[in-house]
Amino acid sequence: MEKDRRHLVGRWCRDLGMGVRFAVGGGREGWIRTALTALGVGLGVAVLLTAAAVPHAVSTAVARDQARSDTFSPRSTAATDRTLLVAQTDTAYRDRSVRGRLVRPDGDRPATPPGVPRLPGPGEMVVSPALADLLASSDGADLRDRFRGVRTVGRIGAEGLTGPDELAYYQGSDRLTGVRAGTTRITSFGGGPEAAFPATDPQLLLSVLVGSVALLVPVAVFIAAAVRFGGERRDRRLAALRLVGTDRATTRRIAAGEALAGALLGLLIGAAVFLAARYPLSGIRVLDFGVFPSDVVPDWRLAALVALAVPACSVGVALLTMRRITVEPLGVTRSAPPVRRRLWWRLLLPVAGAALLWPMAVGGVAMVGVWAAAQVVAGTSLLLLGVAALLPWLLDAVVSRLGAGGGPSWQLAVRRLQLSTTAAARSVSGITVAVAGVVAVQLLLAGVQTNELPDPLPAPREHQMVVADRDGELPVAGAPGMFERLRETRGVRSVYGALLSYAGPLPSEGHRAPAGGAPDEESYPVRYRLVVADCDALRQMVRTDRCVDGDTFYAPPKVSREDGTETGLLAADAPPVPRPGTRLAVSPDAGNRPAAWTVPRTVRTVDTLPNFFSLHEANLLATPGALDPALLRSPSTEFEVHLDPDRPEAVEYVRNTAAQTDPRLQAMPLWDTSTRSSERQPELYDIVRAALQAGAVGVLCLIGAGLLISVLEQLRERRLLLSALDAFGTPRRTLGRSVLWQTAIPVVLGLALAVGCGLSAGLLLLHLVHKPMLPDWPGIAALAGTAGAVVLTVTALSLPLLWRLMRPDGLRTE
Amino acid sequence: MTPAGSLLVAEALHKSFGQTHALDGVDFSIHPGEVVAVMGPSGSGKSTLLHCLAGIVLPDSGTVRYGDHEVTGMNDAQRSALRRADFGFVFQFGQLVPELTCLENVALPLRLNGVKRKEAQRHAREWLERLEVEDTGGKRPGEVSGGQGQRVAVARALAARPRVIFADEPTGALDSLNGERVMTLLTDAARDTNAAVVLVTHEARVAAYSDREIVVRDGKVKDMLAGLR
Repeated sequence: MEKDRRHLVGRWCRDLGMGVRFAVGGGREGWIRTALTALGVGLGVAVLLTAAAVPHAVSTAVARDQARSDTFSPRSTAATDRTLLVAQTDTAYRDRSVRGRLVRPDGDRPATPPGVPRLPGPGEMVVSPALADLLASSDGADLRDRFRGVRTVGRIGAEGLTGPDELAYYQGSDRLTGVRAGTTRITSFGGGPEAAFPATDPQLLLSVLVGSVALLVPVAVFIAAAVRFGGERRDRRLAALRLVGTDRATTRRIAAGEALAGALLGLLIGAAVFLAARYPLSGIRVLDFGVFPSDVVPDWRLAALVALAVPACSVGVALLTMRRITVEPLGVTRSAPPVRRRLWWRLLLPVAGAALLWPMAVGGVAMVGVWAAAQVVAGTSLLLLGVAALLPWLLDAVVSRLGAGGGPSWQLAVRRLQLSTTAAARSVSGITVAVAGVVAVQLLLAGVQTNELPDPLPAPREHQMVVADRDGELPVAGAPGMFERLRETRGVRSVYGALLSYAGPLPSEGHRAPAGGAPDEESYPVRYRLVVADCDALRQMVRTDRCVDGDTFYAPPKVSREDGTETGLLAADAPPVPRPGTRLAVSPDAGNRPAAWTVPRTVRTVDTLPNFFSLHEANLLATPGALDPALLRSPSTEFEVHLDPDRPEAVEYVRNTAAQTDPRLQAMPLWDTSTRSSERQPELYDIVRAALQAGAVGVLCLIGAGLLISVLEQLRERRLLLSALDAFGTPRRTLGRSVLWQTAIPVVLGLALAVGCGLSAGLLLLHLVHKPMLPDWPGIAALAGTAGAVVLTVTALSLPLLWRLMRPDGLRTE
Repeated sequence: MTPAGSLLVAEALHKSFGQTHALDGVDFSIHPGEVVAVMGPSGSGKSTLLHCLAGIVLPDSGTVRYGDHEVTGMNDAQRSALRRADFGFVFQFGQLVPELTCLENVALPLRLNGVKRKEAQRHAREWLERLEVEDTGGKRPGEVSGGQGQRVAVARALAARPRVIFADEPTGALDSLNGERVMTLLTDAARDTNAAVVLVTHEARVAAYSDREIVVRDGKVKDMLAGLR
């Protein structure tokens, strides 16, 4: 028994080894086939290794970001040798974010962030290498003005950056005078909550899991298809082996050996492509989030899994394929006649997938733990593999009903597909799975984000910006100067400014102000937003037909609705309408003895207009003639800036003006919805969504490469026929169009199936997290467009070979 | 010398592939309705001569004239159009398009010439009947025998009513019985339509169906009837 087993293992090894030898020593034909397989497998392996490196790259980048964080750092109210004051001065330049911090050490031995051995002094800054390069280049001319008078004294080291292309700086400042709303005193950098990615958020976890499955299943499908590249040539060689007495089982094992050689070579190519691609890959920034090449390291367990699974998969696929082929000494026959494809068993896969997900969807079972994650992965994988299984049936069903009544190119393509849809289905199934998965995840993300985070902001406004000092750093006396500077900035058409503060009952009427800090709603249950601005500015905020200096308006708060279309105070929490003659404390939170102000008798109630001033609460709006701005203590200042549409660089000029006044001023364009949403939505969702889209495009390109190899192989097999068609005058465009139809018909059908199944799967997944359905049609259209571009590219790239094969050389038979 | 009334005339054709002179000053002519066999051993240049005559490849020097047209002066698109409209081809292995039915294969040259599908298929059906393979119309080439397939290929070559048919070893893959039947049908149909046939073969019994034989050897042509004229 033991001897038999050893004998069997030995025979397998011998036959597989013979296959490997045939593959590498089989002359030009053998090399072409092995190279095709290796190339396909290599591309797939490179994608798998990249995917295996993502967790490490992300966690390293997150760790780098956390190590320099000043948000959750230990704070101190007292200044010591180790403490420093820090204020956030993040800005943007064109479409890139710039991370900025103002720092001022309290003593001689202040804590320093990673990558910065010494904190810069006043008028100095240390910058990231990318920012230094940008500032030194002609591209950075408009950015240099933002740092006018600031001397660069050093570079931030890699350990203080999330990626090599990150724009970041630390600037020393003596303007930081103490802890305020926007300035904190910290004892060290770093700290904060443990990285929450992705375990604590089931919705995010679900998105990541499904996204990974959606992108990796097609890669597996692609690798399985790549193992079959050049199969026709190999089959002819196997027939020759049968002629010299090899039995069928041995030929199968030899075939598996040949596939194994391609897979092993593919592993090496994949590793080389991965190593070579690390550098360009690290240059790709997702939402300003880049990685260092040294951080792109695959997890060793996942890498080992790839190294073992790919060769095993190649042997398995080769053996499975060979079961349907009869290699006889005089040639190769497929298991003809072609069997009609059955639908029932193909439906089993998606049904099984749905069955795994359904209890979680309808039962309200929490998606927690490894088993729940495994259940989701298995369910989703089965759903997506079901799409791949359904595709051949759908192709057969549709193609067999297609008439060949069009032109000769259509007829040639349709008839070709009717003859066999296997190759087409094999090539397209990857696209189908990827698109279905991505559609499902996009649906899931759209549902999760939309439901949780209604956007209360009005529609974006073209050519408008807001410049705000929301932390009260700009002295009231400085506001008019700022107003003038903004108005004189190049590319600015008009500026509207307002001072914002609060008003509440006088302390003597039963409420005491806290010692400092932000207004406390517990202390001031009755609180009005106080806006002081001239009539021009007020007309931008409220609906009024008349306004003169000395007027006062009251704009009641917007009330939240259940559907989330408006936000603001709940009706029960809204303060009462201020009666004329009521005495209120101005800026009651700014210290003792706030100034008193009497609501004028002329106060009028008005509606607010949609705008970007901070008007979400109950607002009292007064002109300077009605309320002296000098009464406001530490008000925040906001300017709405209207730009010249013909001066696209005006936005940078406004940012420069703001930064030169005080780097802590925020200057934001109002048309940049991504900037606006990123202020309100968890960035991880955006990272997952962007990574998914980038991954989908990558996978589609990979599958396009496979599709191209498959088309080129088919063309080579038809060399003689193509020459004959050319001989009797078939125009090139006819055959070119035929290739296009032949590629496009399966892809269009696959896409239709993918979108349908993706939406269904997405609906089911949304049930898991109890969210409504909101299809991301632009996203779906973009994917469909990418797939269409893949088809056109594959066709275009196959044409040179097609033209070459149509030469008369192919007719030579001697 | 250009014989009067010739349909296709070649003069002083030279064609080399690297150091090999496939054609070395070849002259050739053929009349409407004439069947000319081009014979010679393997590698002698007879297929190259056929390709040059049909405008599939251009000679290095020399001219090919078809009626009033100088084929060697045409560009690729013009030569393709000429082949589509006026020439027909039969190859050794038929070279039928495997995914099309036999009927569609025969109709293909007509469809490439812009004939409507139904009209093309009606003509194709007539030719299949004439070549005695009408029962293969709905079958694909892989489902018919070699002899039937070659008759379908002949039908395809004749369907567009070409004025010249180029047949390159048309019976090379057939047994003698099938080969003779195919040659009978091909030459009869060609004579009926007054089409000229350039028949490349190395078999004497196939050449026997021709009106005239020429032999290509080392790139040069010898007309077997020249001495008798």
